Amino acid sequence: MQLPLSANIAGLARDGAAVVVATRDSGLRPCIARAWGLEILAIDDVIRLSVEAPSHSRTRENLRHGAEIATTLSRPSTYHSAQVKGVVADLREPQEADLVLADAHHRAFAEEAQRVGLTARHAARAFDRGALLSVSVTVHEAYDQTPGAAAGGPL
Amino acid sequence: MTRDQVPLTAIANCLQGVMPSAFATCSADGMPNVTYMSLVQYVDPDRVALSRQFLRKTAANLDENASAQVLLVDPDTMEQYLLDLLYLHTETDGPVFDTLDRNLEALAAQTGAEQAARLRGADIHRVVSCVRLRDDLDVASGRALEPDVLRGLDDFVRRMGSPAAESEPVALALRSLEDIFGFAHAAFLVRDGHRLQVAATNGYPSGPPAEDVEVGSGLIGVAAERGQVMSVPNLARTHVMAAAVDDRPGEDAAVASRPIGLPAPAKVHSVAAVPLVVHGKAVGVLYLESDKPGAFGPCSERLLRIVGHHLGATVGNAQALARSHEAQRAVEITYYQADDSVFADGDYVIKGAPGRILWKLLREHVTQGRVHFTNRELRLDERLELPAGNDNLDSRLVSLRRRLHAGSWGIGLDRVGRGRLALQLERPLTLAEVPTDGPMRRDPAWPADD
Repeated sequence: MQLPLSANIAGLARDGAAVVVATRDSGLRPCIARAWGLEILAIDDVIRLSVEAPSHSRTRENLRHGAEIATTLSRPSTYHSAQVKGVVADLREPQEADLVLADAHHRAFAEEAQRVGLTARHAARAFDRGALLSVSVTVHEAYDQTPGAAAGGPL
Repeated sequence: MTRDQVPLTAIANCLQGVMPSAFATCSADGMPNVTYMSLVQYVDPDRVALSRQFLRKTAANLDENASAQVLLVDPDTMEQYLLDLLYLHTETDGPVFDTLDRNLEALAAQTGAEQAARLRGADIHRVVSCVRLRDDLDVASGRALEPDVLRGLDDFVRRMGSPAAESEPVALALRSLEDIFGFAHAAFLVRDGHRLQVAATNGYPSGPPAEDVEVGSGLIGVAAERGQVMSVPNLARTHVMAAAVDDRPGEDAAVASRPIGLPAPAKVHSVAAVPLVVHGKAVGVLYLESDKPGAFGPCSERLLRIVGHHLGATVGNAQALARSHEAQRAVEITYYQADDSVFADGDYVIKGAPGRILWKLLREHVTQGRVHFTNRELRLDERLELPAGNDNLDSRLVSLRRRLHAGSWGIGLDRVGRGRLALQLERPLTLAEVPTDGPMRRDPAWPADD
C-alpha cells in the first residue's frame, strides 16, 4: 500500500522527535526500545530505523523477520505525534550511513529536548549508540497520535 | 524479585509527571501499540496508576491482553526504567482517581486546556518487574518518593513557633521556606471573601502586584476552592500538551499563563499552589514557583500540605492574637469644646449636638459605669443644649449610631426599648477634653467631674 509517510513521518524524525518502538514476545508481552535515524526508503511503505537492541535484550530477541512492530514518533516541543505499525522486513547491523543518520537525529532530538527544559547531558544519556540494530519495517498502518480528540485517526 | 529489580519507591522522580512515559500494549492478534502517557502515578510498592484519556487502542488492547510495559525517565538524571505491568482494573472514583484527576485539573487550571484534562479513568497495573534500561551507565541518584523531610519540617515548625513569628509570621515563613526547602520564589495570598490578594512575596525583584485572583479560577483559585495542593511539575510540557490538544501554536511556557502579575524569575518550570486551611476553609494560598522542572509534584505534595496547614494555623493564631491585643487596648476619646467634635483613636467621629450627646454618654460610662440611658434624660440635660420643643433627638441619635457603626472603634449605641439606649463597648476608654478660651467657647462649660 502507498502511504504519505514522507510528509508526516520523516518530517517528525528530521525535527528531532523522540522515537520509540514496541515489539512483543510469544507471550504477547510488549517491549519498548528507543530508535534513531528513521528514513523513508524509496518504496514509500517501508521505513528503516536504528533500534536500541543490546545483545540478549528482549527487543533483540523479539526482532526477527516478519515480527510485528509499532513505532511512535513524538516531537517534545509540540507533541505532534504519529504511530506506524507493520512487520519487520529486514534486519542487519548498522552501516556507516545508518549511524550518520542516527547521530543527526540525536542532535536534533537534543535541540528539541532543550526547548522543554532538558539539557544536552540528558539527551546524551538517552542515546545508546553502541546497541543499535538496523531494522526495516513494511508499514501497514499509520496513525495521528497527537493528543486530542483526533488522536488515533489514520494518517 | 531478582537482584536487578528496582523498588518503585526508589524512582519517585520518574513518577512526578515531568517527563512523558512511553507505554506499550499488545492486541490479542499480536500487534503492539506504543504511545505516550501524561502521568504514571505511584499507588503502592507493587502498583501504579495510569491516566486513561484519549487512548482508545490502548484501552482495547488492555481489555484483550493485560500485559503492558512503560518506559519511565528520571528528569534529573535521564535514568530510564522499564516496568513490566499487568493491567488489573480501571477506577472511575476513589482516592487514586481523585489524585490523578486533581493533578490533571492542575494542568488544566494552569493552561485552560479543559479537554486535555478530562480523565476517563485510572488504570491500575501491578508492577511485575522494574529494571534499569541501561546497566552500562553509572547510577545517578534521584529523589526518594518520601524524602526525609522531617528535619526540615522540624526546623520550619520551630521557626514558626519562635517569638519572631508573632510580629511578622508571613515574612518569617517565606524566608524560612527558602532557607530550609529552597522555595526561592513565593507569594502569600490572603483570602477576602471570593478574592485572593497578594499580601507578601519573597524572591521577586518588586513587591506584591496589585491584581488579585478569584477563588475557583486558575491554579491558585482552584487550590483555594478545593482546599487541596495543586502542582504543575513541568510547565513547558503542560503548555506544549495544551497547545497540541487545541491544535494551536505553542507558547513560551516560562511566561505563559502565570496566574498573577508577579515579575517572572529567569525561567519558571514548575509551580504549586498550597491552600492555607484552617477549620476546613482556605484562608489564603501559598504560591510557589521554581526554575527547576519537577520541583513540585507528588514527591513534595505531602510536605506542601503540612506546610500549608501549619502556616495557616500560625497565621490564623497571629491574627487572633493581634485581634486580642487590639481588644485590650483602650480607645482614646478626645472631645473638643470648640465645636463639640469627638475623635476616637485620632479618627473624627461626629460633632455638634450628637458630639455632645456622645461625650455625655462616654463620660458617664467612665465616671459612673453607666451603659443604659434614656431619651428623656438626654432631653432634660441642659448641657446638651437641645432646642426645647423641637430637639430632633431621634434623628441626632440615628446619625450618631450610624457613625459609630461605620467606625472600627468597638463602640456601639443600641436602642433597647422604647426611649431607652445602651452603650456597647468592646474596649476600655480613655477620655481627654480639650477646652478652648477663644470665641467658640461655650457657656456654660461642662462642669468638673464630681
